[in-house]
Amino acid sequence: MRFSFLLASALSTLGVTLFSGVVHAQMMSSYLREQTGTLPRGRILISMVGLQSSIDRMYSRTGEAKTLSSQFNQQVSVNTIVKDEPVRGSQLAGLFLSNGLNLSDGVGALEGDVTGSVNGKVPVLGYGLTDDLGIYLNLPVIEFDIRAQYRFVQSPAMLAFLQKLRDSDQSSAAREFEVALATSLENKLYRSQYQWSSNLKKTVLGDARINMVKVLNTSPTFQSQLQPFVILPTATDLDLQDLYGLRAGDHRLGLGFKYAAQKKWGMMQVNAAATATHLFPSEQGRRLPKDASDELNEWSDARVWVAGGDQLQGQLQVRYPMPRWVGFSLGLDWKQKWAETWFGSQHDSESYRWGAEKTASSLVSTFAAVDLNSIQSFLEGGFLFPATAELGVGLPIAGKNAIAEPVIQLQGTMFF
Amino acid sequence: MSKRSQNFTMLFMLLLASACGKKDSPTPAPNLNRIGTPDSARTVSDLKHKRVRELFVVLFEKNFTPDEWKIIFDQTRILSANKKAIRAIEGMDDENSSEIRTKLITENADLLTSLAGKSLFMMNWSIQDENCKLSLKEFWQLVCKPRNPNNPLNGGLPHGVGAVEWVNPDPVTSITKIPYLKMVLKKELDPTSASPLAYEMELRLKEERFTESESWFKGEALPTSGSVFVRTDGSASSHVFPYGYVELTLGN
Repeated sequence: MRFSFLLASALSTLGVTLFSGVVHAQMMSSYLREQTGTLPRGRILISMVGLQSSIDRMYSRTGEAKTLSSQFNQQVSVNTIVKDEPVRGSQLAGLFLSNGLNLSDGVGALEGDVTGSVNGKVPVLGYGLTDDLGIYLNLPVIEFDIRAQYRFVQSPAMLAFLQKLRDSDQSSAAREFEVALATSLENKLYRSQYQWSSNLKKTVLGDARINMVKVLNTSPTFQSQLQPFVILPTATDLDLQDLYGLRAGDHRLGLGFKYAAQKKWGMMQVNAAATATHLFPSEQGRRLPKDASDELNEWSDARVWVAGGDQLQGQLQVRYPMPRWVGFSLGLDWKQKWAETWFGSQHDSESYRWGAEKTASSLVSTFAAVDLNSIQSFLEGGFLFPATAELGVGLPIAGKNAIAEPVIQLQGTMFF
Repeated sequence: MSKRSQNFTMLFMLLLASACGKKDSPTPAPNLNRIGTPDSARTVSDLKHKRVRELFVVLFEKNFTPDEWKIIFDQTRILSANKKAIRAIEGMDDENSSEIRTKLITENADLLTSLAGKSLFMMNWSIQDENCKLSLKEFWQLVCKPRNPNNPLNGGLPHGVGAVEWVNPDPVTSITKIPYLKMVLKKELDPTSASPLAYEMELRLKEERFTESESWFKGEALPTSGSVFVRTDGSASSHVFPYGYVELTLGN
């Protein structure tokens, strides 16, 4: 009669800290090179911005740059297992204690390997309403590609525990423990109603944005413009079963203003811009932490009233144009998104508060770009069509809850 | 001696008989050189017409603290080791062996009485009392006859329900991680009796080892919600800890 056997299958899951920094952290070091002009009346602009970034490293909520894999890795103790079993936790604790394991002993480690990339394409369509007023529409399309694998490495204490089970005629119990440990992460995700894929490719729409560009000053040494804009909630809502919480937009109606100015000293151009965005409240699905330490957000609510999350962005840029067709730019970019506030009735209010607190993010990055343009040559009859092309890289300096990897951007624009 | 003590002294004797192999028992010695690996692909037909040599089920009414569970596990481990030791010295007629055997039997009796005091339900069937075997009718099922109504640990003589089948669970989604033999026992309310005992439980039996002639299983007994058990004082209880323990030995 060996009662310990019945507990082997109770080891169904382990608590994990996984991708906690990713769920609301898709802020990345992309940039927009500032310009203060707009299209001449009746002119059309068609542009495509392509950007690519790895998501191997992320800034945590405390500002530490960590690899995704390191967020995957976790030491698991007996206590972790016991706490994760609401019904049989006490029974399991008794089994461990009876076989020489203390609650504080480690049973092993989850070791993961996660790599991924983001590829974005942002088509832009512009039209000159007058010589100093234009309208622009853009719609981001983002592709995420994530590869993940994990394994559970048993500690010496756990190996000794399993051997003790085998030595006391409980080989099947030992086998069941081994299987439970090996599948613990998948089981945890299953119980939390997450979908697990070791190789995920997902393409999502972002929020469409319509900018009106009004040129304010056009003097040879100082130019400025004001851009009121509206954000349309075309991004898909958060997929509550998506472990990675990947989205390309907030899926909320928004209004914002941008002011941009350019000062010239000789050939040197200095641009500065500030953007403020307000997002209107909206009912959305959200994953929620079941307690303050739940980084996996095990609960969910498909009907959460989401407010807050307003954003500010500032940019400073220096551009040195070579005659006619080449320009070099260096810039500094700062983005800040304040935490959202969540209201819902399915779970206790603390869960909504804990979940919402995780949504704040910020990022400071630099960028360097080289642009080629044929506009002047076209106007002088030296080129067939007016167009620009730009290649640049955004480099993150510091951030919270954001992607800590460089972003490579390529943009091509044609005018008609 | 209280009724409970009497019951568990009886239980102890039954278990002991099973562990030692009675003189008239047809139980063959395990062929250790031919022990199969439990991971081998198994079908119920591998067990065809096997008889239930021993079926032991215990359920607890409540959850215990970790330290209380630890004591239960400690006790069962000692019980198990003692049973193995008793089996090892079976047949040795020297005085020393006899003395050791008596000491182990006494220790196990005390342990069983202690364990029984913590349980809500205990059942122990032997091949002599219940005469159960796996039979192929519409499907493989547990069939018992004749039965011993006087066995104090007959569990109310539940009968097998549905098919006895091997289940290969998905280790990610199932609480049971390795293949098991599923068997369901049901005891219906007896209208001719004042006893409120009525229950159904699924047995998830994981094969510990097998030979050509015998298979040993251990696993969980999962009582169905709404089951009613009877305490030793005769009062009814529908509160039962959802994970009980079961051991099964099948043989020719």
